[in-house]
Amino acid sequence: MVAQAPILQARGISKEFPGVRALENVDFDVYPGEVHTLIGENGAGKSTLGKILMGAYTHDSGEILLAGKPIKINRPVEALRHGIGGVHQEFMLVPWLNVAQNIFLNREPRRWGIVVDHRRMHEESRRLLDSLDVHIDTRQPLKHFATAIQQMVELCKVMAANPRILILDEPTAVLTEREVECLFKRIKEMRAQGIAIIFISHRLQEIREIGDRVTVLRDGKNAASGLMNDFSNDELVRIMVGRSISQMYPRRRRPPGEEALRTKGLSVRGGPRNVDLVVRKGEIVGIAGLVGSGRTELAQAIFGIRQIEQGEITLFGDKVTPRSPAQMVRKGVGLIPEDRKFFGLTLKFSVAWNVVMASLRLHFPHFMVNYSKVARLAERFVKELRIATPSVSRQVKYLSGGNQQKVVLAKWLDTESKLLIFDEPTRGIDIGSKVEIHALMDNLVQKDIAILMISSDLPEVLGMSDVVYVMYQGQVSGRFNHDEATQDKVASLMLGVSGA
Amino acid sequence: MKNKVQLRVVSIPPVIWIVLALFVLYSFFAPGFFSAGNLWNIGVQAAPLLVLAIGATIVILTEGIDLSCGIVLGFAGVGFALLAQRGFPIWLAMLGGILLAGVCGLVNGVMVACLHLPPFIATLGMASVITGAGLVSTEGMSIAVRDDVLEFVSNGAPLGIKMPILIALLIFGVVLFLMRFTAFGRNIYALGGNSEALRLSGANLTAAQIATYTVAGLLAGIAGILVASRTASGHITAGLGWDFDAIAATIIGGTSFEEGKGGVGYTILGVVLIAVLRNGLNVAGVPNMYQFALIGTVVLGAIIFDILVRRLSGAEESR
Repeated sequence: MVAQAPILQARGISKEFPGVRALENVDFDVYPGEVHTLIGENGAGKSTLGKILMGAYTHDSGEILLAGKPIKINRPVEALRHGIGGVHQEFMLVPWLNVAQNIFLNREPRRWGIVVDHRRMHEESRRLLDSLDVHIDTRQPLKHFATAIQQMVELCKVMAANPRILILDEPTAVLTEREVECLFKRIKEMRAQGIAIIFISHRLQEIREIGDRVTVLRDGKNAASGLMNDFSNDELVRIMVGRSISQMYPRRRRPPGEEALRTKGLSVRGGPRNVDLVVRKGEIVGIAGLVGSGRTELAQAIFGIRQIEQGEITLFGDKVTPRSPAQMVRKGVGLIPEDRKFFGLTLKFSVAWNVVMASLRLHFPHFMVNYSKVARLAERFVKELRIATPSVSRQVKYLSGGNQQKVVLAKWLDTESKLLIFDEPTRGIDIGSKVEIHALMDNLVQKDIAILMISSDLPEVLGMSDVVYVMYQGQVSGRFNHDEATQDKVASLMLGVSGA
Repeated sequence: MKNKVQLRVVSIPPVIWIVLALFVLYSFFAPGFFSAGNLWNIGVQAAPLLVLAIGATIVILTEGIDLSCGIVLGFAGVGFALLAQRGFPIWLAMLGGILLAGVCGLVNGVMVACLHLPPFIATLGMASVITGAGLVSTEGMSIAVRDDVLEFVSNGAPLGIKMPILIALLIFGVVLFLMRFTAFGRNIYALGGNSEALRLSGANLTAAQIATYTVAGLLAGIAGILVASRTASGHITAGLGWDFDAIAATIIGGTSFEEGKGGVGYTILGVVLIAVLRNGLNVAGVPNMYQFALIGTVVLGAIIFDILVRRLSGAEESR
């Protein structure tokens, strides 16, 4: 099935960003008719390699061979010309163009050479979308669709170019299981047609399902390479992080303290109804539920972002009506939001300024800000939380996802919050950082801080929480202590399957 | 019942309500506003602004801005008048004025696309430079032009519709077509929406951006010729303050500074609003010096009203 010669070969690729060596002497190749998975922790350099092959970045040294001949890929258009197409980790779509216009961006079918043939464009778009089992109106602006649909549109866009080599960078991050199934079916069809596929991911389960070969990158270098079946999952994890992980969920259980938060009959505008919930000092309360079950809206209401319609909230013994984040921060509440890049960080600011963003008033009550004190504060957190950054003056956008999340955490630790709400604390973060963040959460609880944690990662909820609430369609459908919460019981309530 | 009313308000762009409100006001305070002659007049006055505003719209769609368009308008008129004065055939002089404006746009585009200057500073600088050039070359005077063709361009009505209106609508149609059916239009939307996506699709962003500013310049030039024809003269400050009108018409029309949202189509409503407002004040006999403040207030008010209505009606959609 696999041809004799690789269609695309990268040899000795190195790439440096200011202050960071992203890739060092990396080799990679892919044969026609195979899926070669590229794995590694966030920041290991896998996306950088993908982008170099797609022409979005240029490499500093090394060479790229197409069917044995050296080629130059300095711009995306050159990669396309060589038949290399790819889906980027970030969405590369235009929000107010319609679905078909996005799929055929810069490749529109034309009449008489110049006039865009809208009818054909929509027909072919529909055909492509059908092949992924997505049925949407191609005349709607893309902005109107959920992220999962947008991701499928992105895939169609790449397929529309008929690439010989397909690069998929974390294509499943926002997809549901059913959509992943459709995608994998399509990938297998393309593989059978002799297309070479590079699949970048850090989800072990899915690379095992789809991958023929695997290459592991660690710290920008080749760590291992071979047939998928030659490695066990444990081995792959060990190679990825460079050490074995015995404990994903380091928890030291302790008897909880007084009540930190109690909601009674809480109903939120556009969100959950009639929620009763208690969080005590020194415990982690996990909320399990699907996206759309009202979890995030609940957190937003407690933090004063979303309007409360009914019910009451008691915080550290006092009744409060959350009106604004500013008010809730003063009362000792912190929110580590789901989307850290939009709501948690100012990406262009330095690590130091992000850390003190919520606490400037606290440190500098007299209006003037002392720069060296800001730096000292930030350095303390960088050391405590082991944030990997060359200095506290580095812009946050250059850090990896796991380290960015630690900066958000540092920001709230610096405010001396007593109740922290984590919305998806480890989504999109590599395994190593994940464990570290879990350990940090445990440390906080030991210091008598109360934590409310929302997560789609069921093992995380079960492993970290002292008490688990399950939400389904805007209602609390169950409550368990950690010793009675099992995967089956929680999952069936989450999915609305009765009988649990 | 309440829902129904809300729905109806949402489905009509707020700018139409404002125009209707103005009509009602003027029917009391500006006798003669509704005469056929005056309505034609509004159209003729609106024509150059429409052409200018189309240029402003396409630049704003790319998340840029052209603050030089008003001055470029006057500059084109000056170029045209000087060429005509030196004995060039009148059509050639007009073409010369338009091309001169196109060059201004081209230079704007090069500064933004190749040198990565922020659009507002590049175009503001351009405005200053050509104001000086215009003043020097005319010694600050108005350059008069005499030719029968001017009468035809500004007042002729070959199809029963006055020429300026005809020209403006023709250009409006052509640009609508370009926006919808060609790569030129697609590039403009994508530049503002997500330029990285466009780059990764293999398009030439630099060329697209330069083309946008050049077309905006050419449109300002055409608007300049329309104005110069009506006044039978070229003066560098002919378009003073028009940049605000053009940008305001764009915003009132619903084009956003972000994400390439909007389009040329509704800009025409913004233009109508501003033209109606201005004309009505004249007819009602409001002295010119009060008009600046009044128009500014109403335009800002219209934009604020528009934003509020959108926020109320789109509250659920946006999050």
